[in-house]
Amino acid sequence: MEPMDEGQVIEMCKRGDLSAYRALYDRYEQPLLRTACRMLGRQEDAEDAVQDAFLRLYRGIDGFRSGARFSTYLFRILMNACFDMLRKKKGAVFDDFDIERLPLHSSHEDKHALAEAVGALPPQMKSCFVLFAIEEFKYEEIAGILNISEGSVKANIHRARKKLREWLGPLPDGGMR
Amino acid sequence: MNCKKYDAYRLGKMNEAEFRSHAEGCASCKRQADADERIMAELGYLKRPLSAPNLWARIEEDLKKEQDIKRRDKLHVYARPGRSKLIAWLRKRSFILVPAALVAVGIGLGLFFELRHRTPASGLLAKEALRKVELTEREYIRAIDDLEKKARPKMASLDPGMMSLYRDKLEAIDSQIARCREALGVNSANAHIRRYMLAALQTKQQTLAELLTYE
Repeated sequence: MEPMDEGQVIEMCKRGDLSAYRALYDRYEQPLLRTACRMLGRQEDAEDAVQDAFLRLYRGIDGFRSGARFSTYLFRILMNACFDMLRKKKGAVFDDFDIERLPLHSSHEDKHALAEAVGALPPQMKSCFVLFAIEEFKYEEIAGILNISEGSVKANIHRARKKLREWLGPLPDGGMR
Repeated sequence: MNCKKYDAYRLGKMNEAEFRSHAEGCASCKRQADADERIMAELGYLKRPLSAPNLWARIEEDLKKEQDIKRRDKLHVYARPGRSKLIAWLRKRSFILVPAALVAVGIGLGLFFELRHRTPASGLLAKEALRKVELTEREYIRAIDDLEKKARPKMASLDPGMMSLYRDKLEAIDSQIARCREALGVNSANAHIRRYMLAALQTKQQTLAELLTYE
């Protein structure tokens, strides 16, 4: 498929053209999967969330107003799908950041430690942090995606950083995180 | 103990230049900023590409199913020209019809209760005018009754869906007329309730005329 303007692709989606959905999938597959993976912890759950997000997109695309930022719209749908999944299996996720429940990591080279720490953040804090630190959304965009204030986004990211520093402990060179 | 200026900077209460100049002389802020920078650098690992070879196929299957459902719904609507079309039409306009119906019901109820408790002295028509109105009204009601007699066999010939829609609508109008009559029993000279009843009668006439021309 020739690269197309996103506005055109969305118009085609509104007409029910599946090739346009494929174009959107190609464009957003990785960021959506990555975000869902960080939110839910397991890739298979992340794939379910992305699948659900596309179905929700198909059902609701007529409500997307041209002029609005599509990535914000799509990520909002994904986040709703993720939050719904988290609610459904609430017992399987940590309600709050809980150091005791995480395995100890002695090596700071162990990148899995960081992934686990991010995964153990409370959902709201994690969503702000993941969108900011991994997907590089701006505060304003994150506020739009999560339907919260920019101040709340900043506070959540700041608290997430603090918690990660707490859990990951001293730096290898003897400094503190 | 961590310096609070780092929090202020991260929460947007202190600009970057201000913070940098402060951090040069503040070990706590420098330490926190370094630690955060390291965390952010290590996060690069979480940006690695993920492989989901069957995901699009699953999504496509879902979307195709959804398309089929939409198509079936459309076919269903057009296959039954009577009720389904009407329901689709009503659904499309529900954003206007629902509030309009609520407003109409509200106005109707308000009017009804107000008129029930109103003293006969308010909104009175002159005696002669009242007589004329009642006469014309009786003639109008008679004409509508005739129209209803003509429409009855037509209604019986409709498919059950359309028949029940028309029946429900006419019943609703009749109950409005009955309420007006009840209110007029309390105050027969009230011009407002007369107008309200006239509107109901006109709606009934239009509905019956529509029914007679329905194909």
